[in-house]
Amino acid sequence: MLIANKVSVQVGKKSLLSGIDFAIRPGEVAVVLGPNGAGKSTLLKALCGDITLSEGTITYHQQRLHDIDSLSLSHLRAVLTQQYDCEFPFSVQEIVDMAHYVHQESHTVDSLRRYSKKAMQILSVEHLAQRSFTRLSGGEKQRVQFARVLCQLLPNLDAKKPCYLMIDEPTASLDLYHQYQVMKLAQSIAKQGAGVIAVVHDLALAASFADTVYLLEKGKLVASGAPAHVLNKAQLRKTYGIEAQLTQSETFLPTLGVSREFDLNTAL
Amino acid sequence: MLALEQSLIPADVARKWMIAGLTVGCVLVSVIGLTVGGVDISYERLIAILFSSHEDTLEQAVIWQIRMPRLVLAVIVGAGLGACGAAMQAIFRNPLADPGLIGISSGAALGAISTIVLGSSLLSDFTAYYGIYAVPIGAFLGCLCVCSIIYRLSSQGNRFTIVSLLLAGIAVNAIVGAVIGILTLISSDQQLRDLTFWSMGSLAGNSFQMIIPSLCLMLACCFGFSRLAQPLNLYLLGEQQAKHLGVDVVSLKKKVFAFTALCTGAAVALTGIIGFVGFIVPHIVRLLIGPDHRYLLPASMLGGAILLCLADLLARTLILPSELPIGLITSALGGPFFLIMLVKTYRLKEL
Repeated sequence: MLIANKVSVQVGKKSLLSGIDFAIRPGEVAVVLGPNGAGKSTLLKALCGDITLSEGTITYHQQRLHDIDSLSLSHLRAVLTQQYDCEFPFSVQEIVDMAHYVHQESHTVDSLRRYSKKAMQILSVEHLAQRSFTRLSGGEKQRVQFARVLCQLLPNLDAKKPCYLMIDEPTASLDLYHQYQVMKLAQSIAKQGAGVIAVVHDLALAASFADTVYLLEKGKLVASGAPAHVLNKAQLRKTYGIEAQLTQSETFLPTLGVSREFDLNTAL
Repeated sequence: MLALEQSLIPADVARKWMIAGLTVGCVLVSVIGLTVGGVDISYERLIAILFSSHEDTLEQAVIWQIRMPRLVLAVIVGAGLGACGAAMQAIFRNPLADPGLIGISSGAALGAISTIVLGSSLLSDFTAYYGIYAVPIGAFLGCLCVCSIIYRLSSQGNRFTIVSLLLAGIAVNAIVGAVIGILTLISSDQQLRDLTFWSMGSLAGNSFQMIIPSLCLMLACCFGFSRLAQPLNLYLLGEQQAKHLGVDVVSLKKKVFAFTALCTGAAVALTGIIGFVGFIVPHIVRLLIGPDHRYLLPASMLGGAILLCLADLLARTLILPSELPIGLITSALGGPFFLIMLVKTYRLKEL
């Protein structure tokens, strides 16, 4: 279990997160939602150990995050972030192989190469292997990075060791097909035994794939639970200020319908 | 941005051949360097002198007391500068960075120029005590002082960010530049000549005794760098990304800073400022074999060694019996070569 207990983060006098409780078990997909500036990315950074907490504790399997050294932590969690700017002309294969650093003491080069290959197959970036990363399109870059992150997790998933995958807006620069592909993939990684924590903007996407959603507003947790339960009309009006509801059917995943009478609050 | 796109030879095999080729090249250049000069020595004579100890001739003295120390110095300084350049470009994640950014050149210049200009007045005890070692020691101390000031300024708290390092470097470099200006202003004609030649670099006049401490330090730093190859690769993905992959980023940055300061400091102390090697060699090597530091670092060391040996060969043979400053040659050789490489890459890109 990855547990955050009354976590607060403060930068200067500004409070970014206050008193957040959060828990995820391996096999679960948790999606963090909220309007811009609600503290979604900050929560993710706190959970993966990028920023120091001003209050509260985070524990990975009863071990405090603070006490885990960087290499051991890289066995416990992998992180997929939004921005990648690499000025140096690494090939796609080299980028994916960077994940080998984490496991090189416990695995042979050959077995790590197989993991790279598998990860690249799953993300369908095999044909790009010898291309220079700097020349790819935004969506291709994102998929290559996902392949690297997956390659970091695969040895643990194979060994049935609990681990966590954290993704910050994984779908931001992807087309519709790849958006659903990435979320579907996150779901199947969870089925293999990883806990997945994703920050997502798209409510329909969240409702389609999350086991649990956490709704943040101004640094506070305002609701959590099953998506159908949390993302109701009243809550959406309160948090996002829109009149909307999720609809789903037998054959289609949830979609978000926004009311025609939605008041824009702008005088045109 | 001069970000260089696709490398010309991507395969692993090509990289290994490249390193083997550079090693052979380095040996060849060294042998040529030993035979050519004011006194020409044939290859047969060279082998006889190198492998038998009982010779007692002029040629033997030329090889063992003049050319050999100078050659060893050129190889190690070249290797050190190449490795430092590659590591700096990685740590700033910018192919335009060079060791000068963290105050090494200006610090060493301040130390050396202070010793030259104030050696007969304010620092007379220091120069009297150390004799011919005074300028190298002064340069090394100056370099360490300026680097540690920049280090202290940029590592507030537990952080050590690249932006603060860059800003502190620029500010301190400017201040040091002003002090050097004042020292230049009050120097006598002879001192002015000395300090000008110091800042153009030279490998001349060093015996084995003089260079051994520096050599050990530079070799240790090169060894240290080669152990950081993989973390440096991950670091190029981004600081956060490297951290997520288990690299202790702060300690990596501190190690690179320390190795660069010590290695370049030790080099510059003996040779004066030899610009461009640390900047250009990793650049060219990256064009040829890509940015993977497991190959880039050793190849940059070998490339630096070759460039400096060649430059020294030209420096001491072009205008016999006097000598050209080596810094001039490295810039004059490296600049055009670099431009050609750059134009070629851009052509490739357009195709």
